[in-house]
Amino acid sequence: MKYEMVIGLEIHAELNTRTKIFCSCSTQFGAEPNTHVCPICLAMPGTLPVLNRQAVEKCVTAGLALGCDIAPEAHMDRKNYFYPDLPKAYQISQLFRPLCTGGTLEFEYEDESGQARIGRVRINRIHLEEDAGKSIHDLYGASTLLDFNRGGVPLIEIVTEPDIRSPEEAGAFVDRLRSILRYAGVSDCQMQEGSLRADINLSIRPAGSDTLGTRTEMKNLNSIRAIVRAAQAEFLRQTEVLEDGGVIVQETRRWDDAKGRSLRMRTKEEANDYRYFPDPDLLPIRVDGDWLRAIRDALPELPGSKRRRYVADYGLPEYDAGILTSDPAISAFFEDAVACGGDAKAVSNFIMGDMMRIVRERELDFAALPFSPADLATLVNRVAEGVVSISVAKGAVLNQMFEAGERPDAVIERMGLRQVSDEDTLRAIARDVIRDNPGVAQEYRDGKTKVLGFLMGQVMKKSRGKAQPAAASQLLKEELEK
Amino acid sequence: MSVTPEQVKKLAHLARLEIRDDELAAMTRDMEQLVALADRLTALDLSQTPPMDHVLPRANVLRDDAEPVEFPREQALSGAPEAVDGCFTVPRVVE
Repeated sequence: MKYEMVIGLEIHAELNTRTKIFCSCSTQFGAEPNTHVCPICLAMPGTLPVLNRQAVEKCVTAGLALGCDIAPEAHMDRKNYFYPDLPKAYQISQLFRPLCTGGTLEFEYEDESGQARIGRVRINRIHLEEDAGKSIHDLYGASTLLDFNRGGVPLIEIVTEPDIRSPEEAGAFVDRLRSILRYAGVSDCQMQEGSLRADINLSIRPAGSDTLGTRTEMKNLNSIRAIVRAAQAEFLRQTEVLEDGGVIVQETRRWDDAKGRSLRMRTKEEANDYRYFPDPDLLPIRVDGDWLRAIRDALPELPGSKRRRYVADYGLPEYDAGILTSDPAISAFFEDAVACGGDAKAVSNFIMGDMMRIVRERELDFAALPFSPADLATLVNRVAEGVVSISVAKGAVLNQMFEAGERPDAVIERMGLRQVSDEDTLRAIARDVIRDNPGVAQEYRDGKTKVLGFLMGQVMKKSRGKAQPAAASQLLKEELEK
Repeated sequence: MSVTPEQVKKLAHLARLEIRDDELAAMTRDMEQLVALADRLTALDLSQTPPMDHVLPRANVLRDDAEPVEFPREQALSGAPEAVDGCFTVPRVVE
């Protein structure tokens, strides 16, 4: 039998507030254990939570960015369960009256066979809650260590409807969602640091059926690639279970990305009796009128409209526009470089090619490069003016800008990288090359003109990339044909 | 609505409460009375009564996301029966 998969996602994004959701502890990632804790987030008796205004605003911002309805009145609820990383023995979350409901995300993606498709996924809700602490099991055999720095960091949970039908669609959804949350300025969405986490709810059913099968929940997916692989693996696992005459058990599974398979964590019936009730420590949240308008007015331009604008205003290809707008730091760098006088397509080529590669290799951040967008604009202009060749610009000059933050003009002068178009100099180089490669030169003269490329390469090499290619090529031909 | 001893046992487990077998009957009876008390509300016609969201007639009690405040770790850990490497420790929990 042919099966289809039905996927819904639950995505947790840590909000990038300075302080925690209910207390004034820092939310900074990577601090020494338990240095960002206080009696409130450690759940000492007698303490009371006070909600962070910006956490509410960021949740609402995310909702507006995804086209959700904002509840005029929302409440915080308690979700009760025992686990050592949850010191209150309940998580403050929202069940009954979340801040945001409804909404849709549309995005382009490539399916398994590489065909372009449009995904359309409905958002069920976005609610505000607190993160748990971190348990460390591995180092000490007999005990579990607890670090509560993360406990109380504000989270939004974004719950989709089960609208996703393939691993590729799931991956593309998360990718686009991440981009939107970054643009909206609500979360850093660093999957490897756990500030964006996705759980997959997946079930299968005979293709064409419209009833839902029993679903499993998959946790521990900390990259888009892991999401795609885990969905593929779970689809195969469930298919095998059914084809062997078995039944799918509703359970939570943990993805092991290194091994490429998942293991059962717990069966759902035991775990999900959370006995939610409204938290009496927290008063209702009313986001209405002026407050909602102010949040809406502060919403920045989102990637979809930015992409359309790049095509319309800068005349960029869709492909460039898609890549440049995938990350707000990249698009900001691009826009600033263009504003400083760089040609849009040339700036785009620099960013999409060598800059993104170097940033990735050196694990840098576009928001904190050692040189400015104005420097990139200068470099692009020097190429256009013929001062440096494109290869020298993308090689030595760009490299030195990354290495030392040196201004492009300074690099060009100090390293003597100005393009050479002086006829005497170029002719001398051409003669040297012909003298050093008599065999190849003879081949050219015998009519095998495609060896010109090799000889030009030698000219460029000898001039350390500085020869102005058109002039050099012309002189080389002249010398060969003498 | 009746309450069964099994329901009481389940609730006790969820709340991590230990109930002796000889307490179960009395506990079940008490629970039943509590539920009966709450059930009296359902007998009332509340269709015209707006739900009371909170006992206090206030909303939006919020604080600004200002400069973080530090709290000394030694003090945070001082009440813990055991701490290792700046972490609270508990008997090993297996996922």
